Amino acid sequence: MQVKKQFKEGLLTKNPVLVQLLGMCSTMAITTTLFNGLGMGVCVTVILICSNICISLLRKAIPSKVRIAAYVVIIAGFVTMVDLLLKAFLPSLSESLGVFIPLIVVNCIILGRAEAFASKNGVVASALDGLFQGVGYTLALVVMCILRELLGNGTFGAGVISADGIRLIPAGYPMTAMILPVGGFLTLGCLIAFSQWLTKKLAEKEAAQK
Amino acid sequence: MSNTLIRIFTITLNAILVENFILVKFLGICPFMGVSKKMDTALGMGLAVTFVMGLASAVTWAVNHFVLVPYDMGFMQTVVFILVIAALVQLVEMFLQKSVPALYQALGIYLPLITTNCAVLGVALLNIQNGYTFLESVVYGVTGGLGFLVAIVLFASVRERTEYSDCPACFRGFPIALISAGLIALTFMGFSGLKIFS
Amino acid sequence: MKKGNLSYILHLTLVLLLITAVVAALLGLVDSITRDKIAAATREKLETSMALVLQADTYAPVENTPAEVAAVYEARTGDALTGYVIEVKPSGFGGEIDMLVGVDANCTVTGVSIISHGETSGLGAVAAANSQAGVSFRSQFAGTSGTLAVKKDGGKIDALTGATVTSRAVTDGVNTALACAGALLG
Repeated sequence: MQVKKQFKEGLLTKNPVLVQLLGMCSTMAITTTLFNGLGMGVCVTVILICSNICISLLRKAIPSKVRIAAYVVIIAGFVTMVDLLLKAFLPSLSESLGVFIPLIVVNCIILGRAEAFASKNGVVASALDGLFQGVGYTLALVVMCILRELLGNGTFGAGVISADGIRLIPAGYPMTAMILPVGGFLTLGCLIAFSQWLTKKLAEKEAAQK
Repeated sequence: MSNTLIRIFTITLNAILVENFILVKFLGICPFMGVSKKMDTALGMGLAVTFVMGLASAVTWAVNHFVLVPYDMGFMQTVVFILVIAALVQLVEMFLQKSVPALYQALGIYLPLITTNCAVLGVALLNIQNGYTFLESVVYGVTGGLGFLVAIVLFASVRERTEYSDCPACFRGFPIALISAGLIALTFMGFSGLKIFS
Repeated sequence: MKKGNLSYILHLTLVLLLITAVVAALLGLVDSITRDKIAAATREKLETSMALVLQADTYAPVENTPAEVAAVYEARTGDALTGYVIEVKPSGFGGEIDMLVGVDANCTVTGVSIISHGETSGLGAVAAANSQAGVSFRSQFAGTSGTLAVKKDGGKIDALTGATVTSRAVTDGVNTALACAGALLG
């Protein structure tokens, strides 16, 4: 039951990007192709699970006065590990995400979950929280990527399916602005508006049933 | 003009307009969205960020150059930088509280927020990545902060108006703010490709 | 300061120190595993890029290069000079574009390859991509010589869609490399 609730919260009702409004820098900066979005989502999920487990294990040993500093060190450790491993084994992803990999350290999702969840809950629940929140983040990224890539470049899945992706809109027609910074702001704004509308509709429906 | 001067001018122009930290590079969005509801708070945050970014650039450059590189510990870069920034913010806060209370009153509440501002860690990492000298790093830090200041002040003045405007219910609050930020980003695209010719 | 207070501070420091030490040790371990791999990957990338722009047996770095170029490698096949691989860093839309240009002994471009860049994903980044558009953009430079320009500026190079700044920067880089090779070849 608990697991089901966590699952729903991470993906929908408390989606880190769309509802909690965390980690927006990376959400807007790297969501230009599906390849980037998936890669970033997986990296953040892995780091989130690891840091949640670690912090949950140490939650009784860390004095509350220095807990933020301790969390930041632990998170920075995991981030650097992922960064080094990517550079060694997946250099193409590491190049395309660039400075946003080390910047996962200051991604508020990870510190936010450490503070709000892992520091108060057991290991298994924290690991699951990391997984679901990470998947929720990935989901939001992937939706952003698909929209921006389609509207801005006219393709789907560049770098994942094939180097160029599948072209859905003929070249010359897509709105280039969508993959520029402007598109990031606009897409995220519309997505959050959509999720607010959906939440309201669902709440109304529930109220009507009662 | 000497070469150094040209480089400094290029860095300044890039950091403030062409590659604005918020509107083009997407660094420091959280505080940008969080404290831009009112003009005076936006100004305070912008100044605090500029100050810390300049200081952090200087200190992290020195740490990297004199500690990490000689001891071949490049892999500790991220960990060390974030700790240095956290300690620095803490020190600045204590210093201001003791010696310049007036400034502390104005900036105090924003300082703790800066630790997790990705623009600060971002500028430290980019300085190293771009191979900047000490002077160039400090200039990049300060002007990057000024770019942040320009963006947040512009944005706050737009946002003060959108707060009271009539827009669809589901867009109210955050979404409309993001969309106005997008429009400001669009105007900044006009600066792209701007270059200093020597 | 009270005794309890002091031991509390000591406790805090010790815990933090311990965590940092463990993290540092773990990172050291990961670093020792990945270091050689990263170095090898970087070297391999440089070597394959060099072979891509100018086929030769050996590439030897040239000392005392002019300030406009980042590095020059002398390419030799057997004993004969094949040409030069020149690394240039023109500034594009999002910072410097690190690229290699191959120039043969007749001062003609043999190929262009982009090692790293900060161009906009999906637009300027296409210049470096292994996609059809990227390959055809880069292959325009092969066989050219003299001073090049994009069509917008009255030249022959087709700029990438929506990325004139990037296309100009790459063209500038090729021009710098051609000038450098011209000086070297005398």
